[in-house]
Amino acid sequence: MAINDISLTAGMRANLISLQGSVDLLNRTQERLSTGKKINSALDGPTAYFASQALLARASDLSVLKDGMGQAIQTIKAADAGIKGITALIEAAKGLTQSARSADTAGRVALATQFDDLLTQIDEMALDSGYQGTNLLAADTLVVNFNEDGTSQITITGFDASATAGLGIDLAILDWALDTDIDLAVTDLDAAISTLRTNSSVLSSNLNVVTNREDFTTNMIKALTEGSDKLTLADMNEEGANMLMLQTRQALSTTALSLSAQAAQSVLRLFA
Amino acid sequence: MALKIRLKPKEKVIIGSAVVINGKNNSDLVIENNIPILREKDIINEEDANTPCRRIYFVVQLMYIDEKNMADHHSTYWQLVRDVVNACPSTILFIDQISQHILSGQHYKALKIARKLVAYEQEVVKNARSSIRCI
Repeated sequence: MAINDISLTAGMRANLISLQGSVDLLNRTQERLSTGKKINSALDGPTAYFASQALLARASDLSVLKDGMGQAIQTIKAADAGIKGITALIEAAKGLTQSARSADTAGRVALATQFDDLLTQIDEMALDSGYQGTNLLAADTLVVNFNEDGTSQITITGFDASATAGLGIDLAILDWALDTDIDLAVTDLDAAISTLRTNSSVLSSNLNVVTNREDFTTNMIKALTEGSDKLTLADMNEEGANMLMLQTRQALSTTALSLSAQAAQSVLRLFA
Repeated sequence: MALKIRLKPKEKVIIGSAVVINGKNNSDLVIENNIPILREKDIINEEDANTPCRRIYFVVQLMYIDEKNMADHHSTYWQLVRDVVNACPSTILFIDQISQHILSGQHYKALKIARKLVAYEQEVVKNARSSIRCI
């Protein structure tokens, strides 16, 4: 009899197979106990496993989009801070023009020099209002994507906020010897404030849109991640019963669906 | 992006913020710009939104025709979604598609998927009802 020939009787073979089956079952139960999940790998429940993995992949793609939106928000806020700073400098410049009207020639020369200094500070502030390389006060453009293939996006167009080239504020003419030149400076300053206000309100509404979308994306990532977990714990038999319970609970609760808009209500009532 | 619709006699439709009722004959309309358009068969009222997934359909409908209060509708949407996904995790696959369309601003497509979600809910509940009867 060769040493490497082991022959088993039918009974021994049956016992051996049964023992192997018990060991498998033991291993599976231990795995479930340690991970808490009914579905740990594709072998346990392929549909739920792959669906759950797909959801986690979606959540991670959305995270990337959300980061982009976060950067855009910071860029817009930087521009907004710059606009506030420049507005303050313009107000200071207006103060100088008022003083100049009642000053003598020497005084006017000094004030005109200070005026030109403020214009330089405005230029510097405009250049300094960028975030990570994009400056909406230097006419840069920012594109924010709301979905992966870029078919839904918003373009935020910057503008030039430098004193002379962008906002049209000329340097003090002839050291403000003549009152008419002071008037010209005041006109320039008023026009600049108006330009800044218009651009600021456009940026503000852009900021609203991006912030809304960012909140929505955050909620979506949370829903997908939690949903992915739940799919691996799911019992299909319970789902119908759970849904009925939820329906009853919603019917009994006194909070109505949010119908804040009278207009929407009246429109929908026409379809009753 | 022009949208063509054909209205049957006496059919009602929401175009933008107006409720338009068709006359005696069939009409073919082309709407040139991108505004909300909802046909009568796609509209549900608040009284009819009496199941969890129908409520989701209803709030997506509100997002479509009532853009001014978008933030409120979004927060209602997520409350409803959280309850539904807790009860029935397999709906997450529909919720994902609906949410993606909302994020892209295509509420009409979101409504179409929401309609499928309502049909799915009916199936799931029907199975539960029939299995209870078996006991």
